Amino acid sequence: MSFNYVVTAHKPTAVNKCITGNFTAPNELNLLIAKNTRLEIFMVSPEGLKPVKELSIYGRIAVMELFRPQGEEKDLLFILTERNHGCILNYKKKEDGCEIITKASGDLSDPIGRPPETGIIGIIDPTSKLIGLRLYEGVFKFLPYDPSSEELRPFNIRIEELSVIDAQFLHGYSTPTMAIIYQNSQGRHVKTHIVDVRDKEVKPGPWKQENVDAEANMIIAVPEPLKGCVIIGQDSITYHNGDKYIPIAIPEVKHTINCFAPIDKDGSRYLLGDLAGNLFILLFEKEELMNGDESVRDLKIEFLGEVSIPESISYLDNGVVYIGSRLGDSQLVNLHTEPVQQHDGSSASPTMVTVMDTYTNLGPIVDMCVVDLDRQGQGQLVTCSGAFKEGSLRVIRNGIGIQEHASIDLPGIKGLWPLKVSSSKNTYDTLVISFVGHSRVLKLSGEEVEETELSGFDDEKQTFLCTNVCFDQLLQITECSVRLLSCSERKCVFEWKPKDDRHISVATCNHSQILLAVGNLLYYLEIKLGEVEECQHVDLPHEVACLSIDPLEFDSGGKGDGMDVESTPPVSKICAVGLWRDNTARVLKIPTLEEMYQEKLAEEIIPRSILLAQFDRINYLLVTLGDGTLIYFTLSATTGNLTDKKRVPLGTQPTSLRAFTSGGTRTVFACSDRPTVIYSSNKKLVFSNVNLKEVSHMCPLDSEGYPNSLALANGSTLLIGTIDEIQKLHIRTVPLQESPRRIAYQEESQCFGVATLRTDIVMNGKPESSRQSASLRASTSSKSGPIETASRSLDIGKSLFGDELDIGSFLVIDQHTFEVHHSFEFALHEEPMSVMSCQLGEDNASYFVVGTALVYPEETEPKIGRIFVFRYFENKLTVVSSKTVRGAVYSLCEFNGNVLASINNTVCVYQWTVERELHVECSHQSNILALYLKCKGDFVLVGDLMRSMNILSYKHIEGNLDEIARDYNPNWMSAVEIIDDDNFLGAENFYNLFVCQKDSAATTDEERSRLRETCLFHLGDFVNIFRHGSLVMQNVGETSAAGQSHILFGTVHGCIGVVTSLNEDLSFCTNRKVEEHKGFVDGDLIENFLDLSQDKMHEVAKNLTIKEDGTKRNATAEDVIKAVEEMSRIH
Amino acid sequence: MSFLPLLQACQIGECHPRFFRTVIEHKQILSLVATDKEIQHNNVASTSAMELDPVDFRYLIAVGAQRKITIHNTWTSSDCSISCLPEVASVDGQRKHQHKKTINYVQWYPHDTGMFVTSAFDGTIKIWDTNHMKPVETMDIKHAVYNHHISPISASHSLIAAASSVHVRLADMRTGSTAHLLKGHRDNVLYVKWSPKDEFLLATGSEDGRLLMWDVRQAKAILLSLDQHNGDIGGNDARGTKAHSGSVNSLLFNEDGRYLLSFGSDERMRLWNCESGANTLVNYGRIDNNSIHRPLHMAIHHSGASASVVFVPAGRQVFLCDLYTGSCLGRLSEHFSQVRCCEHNKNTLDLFTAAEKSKILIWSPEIAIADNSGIDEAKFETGRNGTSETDRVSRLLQDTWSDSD
Repeated sequence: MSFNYVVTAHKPTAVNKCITGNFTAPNELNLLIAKNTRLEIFMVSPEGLKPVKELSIYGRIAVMELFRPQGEEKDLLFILTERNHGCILNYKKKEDGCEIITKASGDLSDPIGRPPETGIIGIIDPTSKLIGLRLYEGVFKFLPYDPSSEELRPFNIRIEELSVIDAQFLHGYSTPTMAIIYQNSQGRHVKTHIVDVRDKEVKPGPWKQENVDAEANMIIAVPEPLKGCVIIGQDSITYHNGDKYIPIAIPEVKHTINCFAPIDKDGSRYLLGDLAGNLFILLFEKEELMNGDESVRDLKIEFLGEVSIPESISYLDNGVVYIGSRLGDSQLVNLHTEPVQQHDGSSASPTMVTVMDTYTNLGPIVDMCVVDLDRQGQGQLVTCSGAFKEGSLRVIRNGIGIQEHASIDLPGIKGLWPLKVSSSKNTYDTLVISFVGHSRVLKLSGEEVEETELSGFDDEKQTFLCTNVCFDQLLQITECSVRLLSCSERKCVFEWKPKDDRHISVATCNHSQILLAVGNLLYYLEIKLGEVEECQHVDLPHEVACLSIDPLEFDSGGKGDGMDVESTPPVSKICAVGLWRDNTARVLKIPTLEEMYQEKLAEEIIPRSILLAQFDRINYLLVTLGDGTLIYFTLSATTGNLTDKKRVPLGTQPTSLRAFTSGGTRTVFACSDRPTVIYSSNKKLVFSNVNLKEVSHMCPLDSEGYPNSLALANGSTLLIGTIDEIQKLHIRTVPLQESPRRIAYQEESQCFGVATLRTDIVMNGKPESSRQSASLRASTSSKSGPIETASRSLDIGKSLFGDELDIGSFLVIDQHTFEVHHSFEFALHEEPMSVMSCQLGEDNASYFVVGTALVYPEETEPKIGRIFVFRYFENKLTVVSSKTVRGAVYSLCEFNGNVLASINNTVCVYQWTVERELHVECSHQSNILALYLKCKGDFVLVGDLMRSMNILSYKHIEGNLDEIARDYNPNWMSAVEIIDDDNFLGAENFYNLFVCQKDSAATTDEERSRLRETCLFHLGDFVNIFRHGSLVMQNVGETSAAGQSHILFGTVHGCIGVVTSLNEDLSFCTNRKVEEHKGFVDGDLIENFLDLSQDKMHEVAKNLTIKEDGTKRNATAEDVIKAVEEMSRIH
Repeated sequence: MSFLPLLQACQIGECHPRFFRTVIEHKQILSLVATDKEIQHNNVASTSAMELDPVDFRYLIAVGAQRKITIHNTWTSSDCSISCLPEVASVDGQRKHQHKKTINYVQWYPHDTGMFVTSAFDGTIKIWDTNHMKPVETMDIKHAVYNHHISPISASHSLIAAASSVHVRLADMRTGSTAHLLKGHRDNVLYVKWSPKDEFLLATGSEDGRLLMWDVRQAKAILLSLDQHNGDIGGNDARGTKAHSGSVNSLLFNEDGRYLLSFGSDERMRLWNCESGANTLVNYGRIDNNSIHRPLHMAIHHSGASASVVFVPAGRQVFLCDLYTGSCLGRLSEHFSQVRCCEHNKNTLDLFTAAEKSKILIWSPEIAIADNSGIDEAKFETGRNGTSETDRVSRLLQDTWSDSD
């Protein structure tokens, strides 16, 4: 059976919880961050956060707390997942790293119990003897900490109070005492309980308080010496310690406070964060009692500043606070005692919080589209991420990064070469740059770059080539001559000019050989001590376009560019030539220059750069053409035959190739408007593009000040930087500052259509926005007219002052600059629900189609919505047509030139008439709410709110939609996608993925109309959107091991993953069964295989058999590695 | 609460999916309407009990008068053309191994649909093989059985508790023995129910008004006799505590087994705390119940941690009550005779109700039909003159008589 492979391309980035403690060592301060299923451990140091370890937990982390039992010198970590699996972890330092050891673990779930509405509560008492958990309504589970036991042995105690909102253990009591906020029909109250571990029951505690703030949602336990607790509510904050009861009103706080962090060990100051991203500080005003004790006299709250909307905050040290955010980027901020001006020079008012560092968070990903912005065959993902003021678009692309170290403004660079002039060092110390008509020599001393003179160097000509050659000499080739300079004598010792003073057109050389062309004539010269000898020349049929004499036997010990003079430099036996007019690549023998092989490259396009290179002991010939395509062949060094021709579209401009060494491996850099790095992996060439706009020339630069770097030039600057080792995802953030809901790409107008929602506050009868978010920054804007058939008046008069109003807009955003060209505001209470770009009917024009809904707070379901058809042309957005419908337009799809819309529970097909209007053709009523639509050909896949998926088919003759199959399982869908004609992928909202299969070949009607669930997988994250596409460049002509289609998905926690189906050949038979999922292969687990040690790899491979060419045989570790690496290339 | 903001909150992770589900389900429960779908019936026999299979919630088995047993497939496509749930299997009343009198109760085997158990007025309990529709085992109790129940969670025992005359009989499915008797009631036992949490805890209600809780492992099995007055002596008569002032003819546990709901012919419903046995004094008001001698069957929908909705057959109507607060959330009136039993599908939120002299009705949550044929808005910004509603109306009202007369 076919399997599906699920792997994460980008791990979840939204922070659920962060805590501080001494986890790695008694004197090291650690910050632990929980991101859904991942745990990241950092060490807090004066230089910042240093990552210590990252681990995956098989479950969504619900509770994470550090505690230090008696006798332990550093903290232990208690983790509970949402499925009620708990474990206690200990950190152990080893010689080659560190290990996390599970001290105890267990399944803490009960067979029968009501899951609570306010979530799981997990608390640890101050003496670290008892862990308290509220997993089910009305029951508290207590775990006494037993250092010797490996199992967690909890006991349950019934609590009378249902609806417990929050609970904390109080300090300063000899027996564990717990304070809880609970709710009943009379309001919210606080009660304390004493937990008697021996008798396993709870007794009423020392005090209780009826009717606290009606929205009280948090308890903070104050440590000694003050003791007591702080109850945080919506309108008031109260301090209570049994005797004292001090409430304060908090008019400054307008939004719910959802997280806190203690600043001091004695608990006299706390940081509070609210849902709008405001940071406050809560202080105790203390007084001294007569017996010398301190007690709380009053509470004060002060506004500090604005940060990302926090989910959890932790105070680190020295005024540095970590803000963990789920809806936006997490931050590291600095607190000041006095208001300071923001560093970024914005006109924001002085604040007491400045941002030190930002950590990208992609979540929550609400919608995304896969586009090919540069038309390069590599997809980029543009996601609608974040919410409220953290809303943004993120452009994600796969590539290799360049770390910039230095940058110099130098326009017009035509060539770059590194030189080693001084013989004392083993690194490059000079950079030769050639321009039109002249050249410059730069000296590199440490990190400084200054112009210098090189005696013997002809700097009044454009240099074609300049490099170190054998016998401690330098070679400079200009269009007039070949000059040989001696390093030791510091002068030009030999000069070679072509006959009749003709100009050299193309030249190349290696350590001891020179190949240059003068028109049709090809010359082969050898470099000797003190002279350059002309060995051979040949007349070629056409002019030479490019040359390569790079040696194929590459000594990986040396630098390969002529640096290492001790070892014998390799001598080329063959060279490659690209010719004009007939556009061939020819392989010639050295030194006779007789032709061994020729191959025609392309019809009309000239070869611009040619390179002989050896990767992984396979010889290749790479040629780039004038239109930016790269063609490469496998080369036989002995016969010169070229085989296995492959084409790769790289850029659109002529590209030049340059070989260099990176991290010990041979790599080729293709300089073009889409710079690419070519290297070999598993005997295959891999192309990774670099995140630079354009590179025209490059050279490797390994100097004292810039070790292992590259020098890159584009039209205006010279950049020196280092290249990343591995490919990773590069994310560009486009802040919108309002919630983006849907996105669609329109190629014709080169724009994105984004539906957003912003929240305004009603002041003086009009809505006013608090910040200049994207819809207000547009160059032009327009508003929708009122909806005439709406039954109620839509004026604002009913809204009260201070009320929040959601305003929906449709933005047109440029695909290159991401500027908002136009903003269209919808009517009052109208929210955009779906967006798509398509061509309709017989029209050739592209339209944006937007579906909306009128949302009234009193109405349970929207009764009215509209479908707009926009045309964005010549910088103007016009409403071509609009149609009012009886329901919310949840999803839109292009369906054979028609518009397919899901409106409440109906799926309708709208035709685009000649008069440019939408006209209902047919409709079909599904079950509850048709929320998600995907179509392929004549089939429509509908994802329902709670009735899983069903398939509709459009019958042309009758012109109506019929249901042909449905899945009867009660799945609450969150996203759907069509894999192929018979398989359908769905995500349901308890974090599972499943695949349904249509059985077209079944015998009975009943079986044919039923979708069977064939594969199930617990992903652990809430998937919002599936899209066909891939982040990796698809090479034409290369069959990938993974199946045809890749489906990307984006989740609420910012995780991006790939689902693909596996071909039969790659499936292993294993005797490892995971009963939770079937039919899905967990890609992350498979990729962890590559991190195992050799012995472990062999152990795993022992139990696997592989099907090769139809026969089965035992797999070796290499087979498994090869297969795993192939799979890992899909993202 | 409005649905769209909740859906959007779910998409950005602000709302837990469980909370989302319970809110939506709760709203839909409150909007149940009778559908046109029917159960395919060959004759209209009165149904005394029905149950959906506990595995897929797909097959509905119904039993009743004329010894009829029918199984229906509730999974039908949404096409409105199919308005009838097809009958998958049925047992005729004529064969020799049938029950000889009206069948009172049916329950699927809790773990799969291969087996179901029926009990009838003829004093027998029959265990049936679903695939062949033949009884595999017949246990003779000799007294009319009003109700029986198999524990849904039992791991160590496979007892069927049967309410037959004054005693409760425990029949062992494994051995076939029916010797174990629970004595304690003074009149016909009408209802038995095992606790969903504790496999040895059994609750029984009888015509004597008493509600007893039993631990079947003990020799002296009665644990508690639930007292409606919670120990207040003045309200009791000399014969002991009573749960209701009439027959107790329906029992229902909540999902975690901490609370037990009882319904009596005194037209009261009582919610009992199972650990203490105390009457929680939740007031449900007066609910019609004139079945003094027949059991009624309630259904429950669990909407989250602090709310559950109970469907109670109340005369000709079905009441929807909140379990923990007692408030009446709605009434479903469509039957013309006394409603006997309700069954609820917790996945699709459908409700099946059967009354004495009618077919089984199916209730579904009301769906907002998006009928798009009516509205045709005037197009704007294209400079066209579309016909608007007002235009058409005014034209209709225009006088079309010619002026010249």
